[in-house]
Amino acid sequence: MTWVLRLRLALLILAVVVLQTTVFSAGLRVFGVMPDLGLVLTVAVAFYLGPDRGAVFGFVAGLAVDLFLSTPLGLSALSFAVVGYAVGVAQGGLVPPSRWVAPIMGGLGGLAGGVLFVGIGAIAGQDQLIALSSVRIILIAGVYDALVAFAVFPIARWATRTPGEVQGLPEHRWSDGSRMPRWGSDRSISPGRSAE
Amino acid sequence: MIVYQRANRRRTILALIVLTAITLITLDVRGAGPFSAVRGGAHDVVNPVAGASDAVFSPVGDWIDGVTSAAALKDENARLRRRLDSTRGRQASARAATEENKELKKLLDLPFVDDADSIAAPVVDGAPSNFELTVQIGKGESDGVGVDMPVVTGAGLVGRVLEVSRDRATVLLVTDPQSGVGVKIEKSGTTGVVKGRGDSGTVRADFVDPSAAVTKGEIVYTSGQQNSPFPSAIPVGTVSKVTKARGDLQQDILVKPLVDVSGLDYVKVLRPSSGG
Repeated sequence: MTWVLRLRLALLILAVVVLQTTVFSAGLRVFGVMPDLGLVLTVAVAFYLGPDRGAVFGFVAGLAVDLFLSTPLGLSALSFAVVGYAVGVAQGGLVPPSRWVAPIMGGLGGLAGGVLFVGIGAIAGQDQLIALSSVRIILIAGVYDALVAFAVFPIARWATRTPGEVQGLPEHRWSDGSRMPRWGSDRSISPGRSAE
Repeated sequence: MIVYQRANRRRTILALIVLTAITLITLDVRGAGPFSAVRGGAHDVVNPVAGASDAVFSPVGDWIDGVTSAAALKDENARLRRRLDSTRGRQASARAATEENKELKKLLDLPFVDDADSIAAPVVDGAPSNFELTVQIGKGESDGVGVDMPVVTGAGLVGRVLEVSRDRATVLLVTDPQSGVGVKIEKSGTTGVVKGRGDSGTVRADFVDPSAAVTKGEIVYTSGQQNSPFPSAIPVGTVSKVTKARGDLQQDILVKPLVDVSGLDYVKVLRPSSGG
């Protein structure tokens, strides 16, 4: 991983923390619920970089978010890291190529992350998380995460590019060698078709 | 072989991350380590950027909020106007009673809310998570705000300061399930603990004497008991529902907070008086 890539990812984490603590916390809520931007970004980065880097990114992003929460430090870090790892593993061959990958992965990742956060939190003594309202929050946040994923995936795609990349990196190919769909200006390339 | 090694490396990384996270959670839950200072430092670093972001994006958020809640705001406005008329009448008679009450409290040497210095602070942001009910206020350590200080509005109790950085502070709202406030119920005089339920609608009063005759509409005040961060006589809410089945060991009492914590603009942070 080059320092440029690390810098991009660090800036993305900072942007997520600022947006989460200001814009989304203050106003951009649907039925009182906001999306979990850090989690969606972790899903997107893990999707493009694989399970180990996805887990590390999720841990760092979650830790940054944890610094602004009243729940124990490390709770978001652990749930984000596990989701990042799982998404990276799924990306390695389980997920079929489709332009709906972003919202589906974003939504499922959001649901899984929410369940993990509540479950691990309850084990760590945060009994207040075990409530009917948590189910409602997780479901609404999952839908919101799926919508936000449309915007987050292209940004993650840009941030995880390496300087040498022109049309696509091996990391951005499916296990059968076919190319992943491009999020953004290159959507005309159909999934599974070689770019070269 | 290479595939096996790669899979092994991945599992090792995940195991290390899980162990680190569990260690951090355990240390933070036990209150060990300099986590509070680290959190304060992180707030200090991000606050200038957050302030600029607020200035740029808050009109957008306000607009969306206004569009989605226009009908409710109209109804609320009419309801508040009616309430204002009746409140003006009560205010005059309440003033005399308050003066008398203050004198009596002084005789008993109990802390009273009017004795406390206060710091007015704007509410700048909401909670950064779906699972906590907090607000960020635009005053911090440099303005004299400290952890556990009570936060009020003219209507009553909002919560207490949970964390503080140089220029901002996090306030835990009374509606958060982590919040617990010692209270006294107006007419029955019985005491209890008000706990949040995770939504802004109602809070629950626990540990209330099952034999006490609590009725709907009674006002609930902070009790100001020893070691409580809250001084006495801050209005918390009104009893909205009382349920007690035969044989129950405690009453199920719901309290509607007097402060609408979902629409806060300005609050007051109470500093304990030097004499108090």
